[in-house]
Amino acid sequence: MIHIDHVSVQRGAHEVLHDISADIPSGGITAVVGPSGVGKTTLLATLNGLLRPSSGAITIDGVGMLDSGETLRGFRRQTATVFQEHALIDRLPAMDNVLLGLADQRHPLSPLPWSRPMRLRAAQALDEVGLLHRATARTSQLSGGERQRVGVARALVRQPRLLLGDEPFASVDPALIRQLGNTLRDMVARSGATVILVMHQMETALSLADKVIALAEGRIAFDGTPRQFDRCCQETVFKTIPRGALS
Amino acid sequence: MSAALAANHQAELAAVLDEGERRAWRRALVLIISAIVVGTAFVYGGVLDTQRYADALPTILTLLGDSLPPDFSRWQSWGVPLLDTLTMSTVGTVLGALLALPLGALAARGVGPASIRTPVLMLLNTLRSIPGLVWGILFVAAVGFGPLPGILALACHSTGMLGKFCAEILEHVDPAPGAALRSQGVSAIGVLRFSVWPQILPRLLDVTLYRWEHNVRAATTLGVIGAGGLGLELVTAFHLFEYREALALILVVLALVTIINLAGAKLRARLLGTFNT
Ligand SMILES: Nc1ncnc2c1ncn2[C@@H]1O[C@H](COP(=O)(O)OP(=O)(O)O)[C@@H](O)[C@H]1O
Ligand SMILES: [Mg+2]
Repeated sequence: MIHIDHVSVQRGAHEVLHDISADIPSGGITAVVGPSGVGKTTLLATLNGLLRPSSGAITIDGVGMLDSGETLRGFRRQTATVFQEHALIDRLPAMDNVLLGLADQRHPLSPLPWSRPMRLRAAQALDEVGLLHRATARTSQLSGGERQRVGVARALVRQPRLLLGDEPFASVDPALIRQLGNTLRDMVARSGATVILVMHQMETALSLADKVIALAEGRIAFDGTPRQFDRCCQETVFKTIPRGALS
Repeated sequence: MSAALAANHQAELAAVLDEGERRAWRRALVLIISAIVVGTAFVYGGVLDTQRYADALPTILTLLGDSLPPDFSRWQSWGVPLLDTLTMSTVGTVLGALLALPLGALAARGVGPASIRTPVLMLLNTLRSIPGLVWGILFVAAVGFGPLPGILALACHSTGMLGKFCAEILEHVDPAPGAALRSQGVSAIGVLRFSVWPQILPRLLDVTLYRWEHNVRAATTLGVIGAGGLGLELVTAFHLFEYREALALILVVLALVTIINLAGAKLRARLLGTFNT
């Protein structure tokens, strides 16, 4: 279980997240929703230690994430992140960007090429996002949606215990979203992985997730099941926010 | 945008537009001043003085006539100078590139502290503002004749140039893929290897190959001051008024530069094509 304990996060001069507390159960999909600019990306960056809370702490299965460099490294090795801006290396082939998902599993100074088992895993991950036929294409020559799927493949190839996705389906076709949703469901069922997805398609979020956390004005506005959210809170919590503005 | 929203932001809108105009004017002013300065330099340099050109064309034509057809008869004695020039340029470039990588990294913004960055930048500036010929004279005095002083001279100047390029290339590295690697537990060395290196390699290779070509020409000049190579042959030919032989030597240098260019392009395609996959 991931325990977010009174966490506040600064971004530049101002505080983006104010005193947030939440529990994210292991082995399930949690959706994080909220209006643009509310701090969803900031929350994910804090969950993998790229940003540090100005106060509060995050514990994973009872161990403080930032207790030491070693614990952080340990958590990160089990984590995969899909970044909102993809964070790919444009000039490399799509396949090589997926292989970077395995970079922590080989020696950084080894002059050897990626091993065949690793390349097989990367190819399978590309296949899962429907991009095997683009494996050797330069990433800069892919469309926005395709680049996003490369980012998803780079996360999937890690077979992570914790997957953080920052709007991973933002420009993916509905049919593929359903397929990728099933892939994630399978992953959770098979390996008990924990998945945290920032999403802007509310319908997808509500149908895919076991738990919904809604942020508003840097605080948690809702924390519960999709059904509870659907019944009570879409109107009450978000009555000030036009539905289209949720992203 | 609705009218009500626009009305609310009149002042802000005006401020944004005014700032844009101010910037446009400032740019125009800089452009005009630069044009005046460059124009003055044209006049001062005598570029526009037509009288100076009166005798130029006939003289050049005469010289060209005197050097035709090129005379390759002494080609056997060019082998060693050719080898010297090639050695100087290649070893000088590689040495310069090897030194430029760490120095460039230290000189890049956002890598090391300013207390290191500033002196390293000054060192690189010094290395490249001293002309290659001066470096050559210095090293001929220091280590004697032959290709070695040429190598050292080219390496010094190349380090200054490539180091600066290297720093700039490093400053343009996209940090996002590196952050992605760190977020999955990859070490700092891993980030250098898997994110920074593939991003900088093509441009580093480009400037280094360009520098190699430049150094072939520079190595030719260095022959004049006793560093050996084709330059010495060329100057000797000129001094003896052997213009036909001089032209032949110039053609040889041209061929060499062309070959270096082709080899560089091949090398680049090879290295980048197979990299990392
Ligand atoms: N690098 C940054 N420096 C300063 N402020 C930032 C930075 N990144 C984001 N912000 C600000 O932090 C707030 C939250 O951003 P973000 O977490 O990206 O929101 P979301 O992902 O919910 O759209 C926004 O107001 C944004 O302007
Ligand atoms: Mg975001």
